[in-house]
Amino acid sequence: MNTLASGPLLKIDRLSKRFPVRGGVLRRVVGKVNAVDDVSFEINRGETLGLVGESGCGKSTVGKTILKLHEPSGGAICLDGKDISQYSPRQMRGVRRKLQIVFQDPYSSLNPRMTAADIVGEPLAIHGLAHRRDQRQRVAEMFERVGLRPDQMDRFPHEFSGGQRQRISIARALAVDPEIIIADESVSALDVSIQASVINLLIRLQQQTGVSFLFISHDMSVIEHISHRVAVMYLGRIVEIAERSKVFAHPLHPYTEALLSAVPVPDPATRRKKRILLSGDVPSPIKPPPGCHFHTRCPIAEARCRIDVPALREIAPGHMAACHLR
Amino acid sequence: MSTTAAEMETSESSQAEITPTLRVSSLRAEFRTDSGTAIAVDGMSYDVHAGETLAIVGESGSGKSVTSLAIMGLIPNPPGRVTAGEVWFENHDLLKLSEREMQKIRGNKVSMIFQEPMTSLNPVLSIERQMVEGIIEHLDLSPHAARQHALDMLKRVHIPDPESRLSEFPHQLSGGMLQRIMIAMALSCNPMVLLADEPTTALDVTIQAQILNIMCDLRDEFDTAIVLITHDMGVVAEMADRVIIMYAGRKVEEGTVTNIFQNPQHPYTRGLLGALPKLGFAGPVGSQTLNEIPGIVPALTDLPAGCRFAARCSYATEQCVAQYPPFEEKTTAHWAACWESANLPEGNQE
Amino acid sequence: MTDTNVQATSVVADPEIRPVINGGQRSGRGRTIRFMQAVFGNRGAAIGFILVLTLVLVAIFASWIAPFDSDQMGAGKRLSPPDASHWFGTDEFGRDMFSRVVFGARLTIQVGVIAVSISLTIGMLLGLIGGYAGGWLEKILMRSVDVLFSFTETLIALAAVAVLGPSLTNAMIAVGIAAIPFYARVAYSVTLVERNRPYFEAAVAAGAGHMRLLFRHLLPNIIPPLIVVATLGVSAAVLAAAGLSFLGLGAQPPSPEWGAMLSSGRDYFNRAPWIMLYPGLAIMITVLAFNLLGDGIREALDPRQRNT
Repeated sequence: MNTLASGPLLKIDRLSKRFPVRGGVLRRVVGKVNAVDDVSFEINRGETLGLVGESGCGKSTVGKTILKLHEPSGGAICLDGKDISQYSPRQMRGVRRKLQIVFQDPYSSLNPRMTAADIVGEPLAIHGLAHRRDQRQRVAEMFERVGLRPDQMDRFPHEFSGGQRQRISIARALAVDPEIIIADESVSALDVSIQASVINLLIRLQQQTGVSFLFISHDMSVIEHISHRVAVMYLGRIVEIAERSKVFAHPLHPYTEALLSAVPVPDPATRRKKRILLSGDVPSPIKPPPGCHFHTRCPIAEARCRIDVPALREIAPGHMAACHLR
Repeated sequence: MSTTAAEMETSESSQAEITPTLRVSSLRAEFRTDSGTAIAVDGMSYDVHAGETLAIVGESGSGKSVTSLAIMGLIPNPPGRVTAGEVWFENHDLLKLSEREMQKIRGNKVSMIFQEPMTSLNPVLSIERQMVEGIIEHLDLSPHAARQHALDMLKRVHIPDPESRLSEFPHQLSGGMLQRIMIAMALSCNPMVLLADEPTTALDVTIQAQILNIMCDLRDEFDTAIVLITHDMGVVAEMADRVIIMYAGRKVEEGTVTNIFQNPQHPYTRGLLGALPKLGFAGPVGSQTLNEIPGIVPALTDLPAGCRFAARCSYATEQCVAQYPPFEEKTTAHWAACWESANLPEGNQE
Repeated sequence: MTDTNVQATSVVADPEIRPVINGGQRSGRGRTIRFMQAVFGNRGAAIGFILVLTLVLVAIFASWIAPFDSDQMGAGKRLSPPDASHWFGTDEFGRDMFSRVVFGARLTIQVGVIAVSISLTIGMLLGLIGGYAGGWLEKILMRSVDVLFSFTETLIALAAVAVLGPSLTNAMIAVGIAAIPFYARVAYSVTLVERNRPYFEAAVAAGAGHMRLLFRHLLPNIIPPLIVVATLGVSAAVLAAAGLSFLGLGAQPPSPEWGAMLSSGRDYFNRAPWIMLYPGLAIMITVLAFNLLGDGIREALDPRQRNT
């Protein structure tokens, strides 16, 4: 890990993404969902930022907006100091080599009508990084690097198992030497034993190449295992962000506490420990509660939590949380 | 497999042993596929008693879900078929019952909840209609009393404002809410057995915690026997009294939850435990490598003669490859199918 | 829980079980074989395939099969009923009906292939571009398609023939043009599904340009469902072209086009029903054949089987 003094590799500043909500017979725009609401964070070189939250919290939208698969509604996305948030699709093509993504579903994230070699080689061809013969060589190298057999590279995706397909996705992302890979629930669809090997692979690749990860997941244990720093999202906002050990050992936001407490621990001896049980469901992101979004489920909420939006502030050194009461 | 654990358990224990609520013995289910006959479940046996939670653990294709579908008579035929075994419930072999007789038992005395609550509910019928119909049919109540009962059940699973929920349709409700409704429906006829197939897998962790809590409370209140099918060792540790580990259609280990977690006798169980990232890991990133189980599950259409895990097992010997190990008691009330379990190192994982 | 709630069929559809039940690794050739098995496992599809194959063979070898030339007048007595020398009888000019029906297969295959090629190619491109582009281009393309779609195909075909003039070639073109909106809509909806799949997003994220996204990622994935539609579309095209010919707007006498034959046989229906019977039967069997085959292919391409 070589953190350069030149500033963070990726700096997200007050990023927001609103989706129109359509309703009625005429499908008119009747409202907006703040899928991502004023989100800021940084990722350094060789670092993994874990982005954790429950379904609908906007964590995947953050990833896709950074890649400009969704146009951001506001805020800046600075890659290597350059703001790419206003880049045209043509300008984006120039920087896409640096930003890669690995999706959740190993079945639908690979084009079923292309061979594994073509899939992994495609980014190389797009960015003109290798001539035809070199490309095969490079693809073979990638196959070996992610633990696939190069002699299987002319097979089609359906001929591989789920874990192997996820390795193909990783090889595709890795082929162009990206600076950052966005891993969007990349291990969530895999069986435990396969998941372990893909997590090990990602960590090993980071040690070898110094690539950074934005690791998006709902699984607290996986996030803790893989991340240097962790950001917790709830209904479009970051509620807590800090070094991994700080978030997991001394969570400051009541939501983080509840999230940690809800994780079932694979040890029957700890079974009867006291849990913080949140009541109710995650509110609809179309109509989030006013003030602190979490106040409807928060065990310690007070009157002002229902009115004022808490700012994300440094509560302990290097430990930011958005809570009035901490 | 010479003697099943279920048989040994009853033969060895005292006469005071209560008969199990549900007994599955030597169940075998096959599916016809393009590439041959897949043996999805092969000689599965278990007992489950009132008020007890039995967890059945396994990865994709282990046969854990097919087992419960077979019990419920819900295996689509074709391509599937139960080719052997018995399922004893209230002195009947469920596999020999007619479809009509099964309908009386399904959703009444034996209930099932599925992973995807959304797909298990009819999207064009209101919650009230779906709940009340089942109650009227099985409990023989008047429509009014049935509605009242449905309301009571919704309150039991902590659904806020149950009156208005009744008139809503599945798509108007969140996943967590729907799963609670499924549980309320499943328990509304006070079943003796609840088969829960990955009931919380599709849910967020805070909602999962709520659902697991509700299931525990209801089990204790109604003395229901729960068969919990899951891949999540965390949920198992949280909920189960006894655990069965399945691999490629067969039971490879069975024991109390403490035994399974603290003294696993099968390398596959140890592998699974070692593959889990554990909360509370504090070392630098990359300082701990998760245990990998190399290779993939054998195709169910082309199963090896010996131990099905042998190709992926670091302790496998020639005997393991040649001969399927007997499912035998290794320590008290703890069975495993492994030739090498005596030679496994100390500790509970790889 | 009542039984209506139970999704028993989901067992095999469950992606978790499927790959393992079917075995981990399989070859591409195996997939083709399984596809063929799926097509032929369906009795209707097998019959359809055999009928279509027969039709094609008859068209190719028409001059060997037919005992007479299609236009040879006086091959037998006028309006003679079917017998050993003229299996389907003769028409008002003494032409051998069997030979005419056999040569008619050629025209029918031509009509089907050319008309469907026109509508499939143009419709597919319109739908593909509309579904891919989004924004104003999508609106313009798809709204125009909707407007065309609101007229019946026959009306569009009639209008096209009116402009182009009556001939078999023009009838083919007219029928082809008339079906474009239908293919465009199918291609559009399939494109919308495919462009929301992660593999497409992955290609965008990799920096792929328009051409690559359109023709390397989307096109190969929208073709299979369109093949089904096209197979079913052949029968519609054959029927529509026969209809135009029947109205005198397509093939002109003495062309042995089945629709035209039906038309000219009308006057003799009371005395010589076989002049209408055999071309009519030929049209019916052809339509049935392509429908059966299309249904069979659709079932074989069912996502449950395709995704394994």
